[in-house]
Amino acid sequence: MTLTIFSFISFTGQKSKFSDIIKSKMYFKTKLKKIPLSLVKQENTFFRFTDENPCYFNFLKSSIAKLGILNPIMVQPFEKKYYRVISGFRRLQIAKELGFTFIPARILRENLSPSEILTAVLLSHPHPLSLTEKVRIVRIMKDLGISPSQICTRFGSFLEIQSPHLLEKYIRLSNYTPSVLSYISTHGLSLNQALAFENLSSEEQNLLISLGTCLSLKGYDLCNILTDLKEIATKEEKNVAAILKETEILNVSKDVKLTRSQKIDKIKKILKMKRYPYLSRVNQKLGELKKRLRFKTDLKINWDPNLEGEVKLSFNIRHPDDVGKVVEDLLDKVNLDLISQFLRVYYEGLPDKKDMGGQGSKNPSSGKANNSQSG
Amino acid sequence: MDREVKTHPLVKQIIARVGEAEVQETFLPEIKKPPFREGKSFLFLTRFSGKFVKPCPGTGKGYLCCGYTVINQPVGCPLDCTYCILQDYLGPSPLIVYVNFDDLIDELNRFLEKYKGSFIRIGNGELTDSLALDYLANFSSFFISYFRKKKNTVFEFKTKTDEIDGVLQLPSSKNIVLSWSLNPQTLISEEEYLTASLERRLKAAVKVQEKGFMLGFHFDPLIWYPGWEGEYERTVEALFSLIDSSRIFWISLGALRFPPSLKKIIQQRFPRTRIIYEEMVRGFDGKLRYIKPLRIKLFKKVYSLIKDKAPDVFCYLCMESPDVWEKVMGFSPRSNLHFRYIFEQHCRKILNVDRFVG
Repeated sequence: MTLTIFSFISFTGQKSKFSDIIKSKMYFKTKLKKIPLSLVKQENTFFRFTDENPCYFNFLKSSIAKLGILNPIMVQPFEKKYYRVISGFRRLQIAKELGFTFIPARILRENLSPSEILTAVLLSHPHPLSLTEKVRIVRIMKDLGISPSQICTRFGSFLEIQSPHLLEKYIRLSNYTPSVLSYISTHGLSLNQALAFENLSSEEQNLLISLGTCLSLKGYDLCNILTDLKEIATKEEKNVAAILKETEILNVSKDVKLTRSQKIDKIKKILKMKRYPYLSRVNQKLGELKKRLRFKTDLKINWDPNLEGEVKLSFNIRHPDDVGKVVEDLLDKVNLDLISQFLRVYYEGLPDKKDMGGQGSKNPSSGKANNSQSG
Repeated sequence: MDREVKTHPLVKQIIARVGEAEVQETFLPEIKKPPFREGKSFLFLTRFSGKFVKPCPGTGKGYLCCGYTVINQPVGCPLDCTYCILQDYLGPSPLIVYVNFDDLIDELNRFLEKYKGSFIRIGNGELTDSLALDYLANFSSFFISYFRKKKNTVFEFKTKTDEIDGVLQLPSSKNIVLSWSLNPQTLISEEEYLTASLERRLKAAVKVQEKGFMLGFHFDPLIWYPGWEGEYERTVEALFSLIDSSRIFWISLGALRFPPSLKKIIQQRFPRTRIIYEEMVRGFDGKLRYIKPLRIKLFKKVYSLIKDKAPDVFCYLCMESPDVWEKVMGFSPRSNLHFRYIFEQHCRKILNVDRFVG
């Protein structure tokens, strides 16, 4: 059986430079070879960085079932007759599931250093790298002892991480647990959104992942919820898990009577109430007063929920008589009383101000400053 | 130091004063940005070819600003307050002293000539602490000598230190104001790293007052935290137990406010601070600030404490909205221009200066 000669494609999906192709020959013993599946071992998954995506797995499986394996796996010989997989774990699994006996492979030289193996893997990666794939690669590089400056200079263009500042963010993400990375990948979180998971314990991460999965939270909502949770936790000197448990958030997420968006809205309200107790109470009170107004015209009362702007009364005049009706509305005893109550609450605050700035730790900063901060 | 200024006479003086420091010749673009705290131990000596004198950036629409003028010399602050805007505005950078004082004099002359007849309030405490680097380049001597003769100006040093040795060696002048930012000691310990304690600040103010200089105080940023009322009360008490209120030129009040981008920096650099987690909203200027009822409560309390002790002292709010002024002070300037006019009248009264005095 003849094998197609594959063009050497870099991970960006673009054809790599000729020099890369020449260089690639340094890494491989042979161009392509069909090797018996029984001799291929999954010794370890150190170089595995691709995202686990069941949909893509099924797509790949049906493609392989139809066309065979078009992109050979990458292996390295060991113990004379066996091969360890370096790249192509999914293809190998599918080949086994489909009952193949041979698999096309490119065989790496035995004497390559781990760093050279990684270079070979990156050079032959056929797809653009996702955020989490880059994070896993950075982790592999860290484990191989490649310094941040080397990552930027040697692999920066491959990874599209050329500034140390950007790399630092990837390094922070590389400390995440596999389950968090998997969530980030399946829910399409951006780099900055993904950083919101930072400084959470594994219990907290798991709780949040189950909440996120339950509500199918995408980047923006997840990030907002997570930011509020972390700020509440910091302010109350608790951890995020405790806040999740003491609020109704987890129960709301499992409430079968609510739709997904109702659940998200309710959770956001709970968090808002906890994060901005006074502001929430004021707005709630203003909402209640607004509902009680009995305008016969289209008079509307609007306010800035942040309490910074002015209260505005607006109405439309379509007929000269409308003016009189608006005046009547405004002079109505009940309305007048409600409007003045409304303005008092808005401009002077609630009569009971116990929640205003009343939470938090005794001191503005808890405990002593760490060494790097102390004077 | 910048290679271009290595032969400048001031450079040798500064290097001699720095003591045991490693001296390198370099060029500004070659300087790698050091981390924040580390940057405070890097001093870069160079020449500034831009504008030293600028109007205070103030803040956006909806809030009143007093029309202050700032001199950006030096740039960068060796102190390390958690809430410091310079972390965002300058980013991680070395401290910079511009050695071309001659150019600064020329620019100041041109500036004062341009605004002859107007009253100018000017200071160098915007991008630095005015006195923290005084021991290096005698900024106080330069500014006091220059401005003491300018009768239609008030020059202000703003500081959180007690570095007043340079100031005390100079004859006083009524139009030179030494201002201290004040906060309760709890906040100083927790949020204002590397600064002088409240006691040291006030003792320094006493010495400067005895020397005959005018004083200013800035309760800015006022910070809300449990127990704030009692602590601000004690702070105001301490201030007026030591300071003669007739020597106070002004006292400003400003509540904690910062751009959202600074919040992330504070969270990273000072994870223990809690001051950014109060109920804050985005104001019209995009900055995060306490919700209005909370700000009013803070201002009312501190303002009444001050007025109880010193009914005649001139107080103003920094970057606040007219309705907050109204609720706190019982009146509000109608515009920035009006605010400036009120301030100018006050300064002229204190200094006994008529209009058009050059």
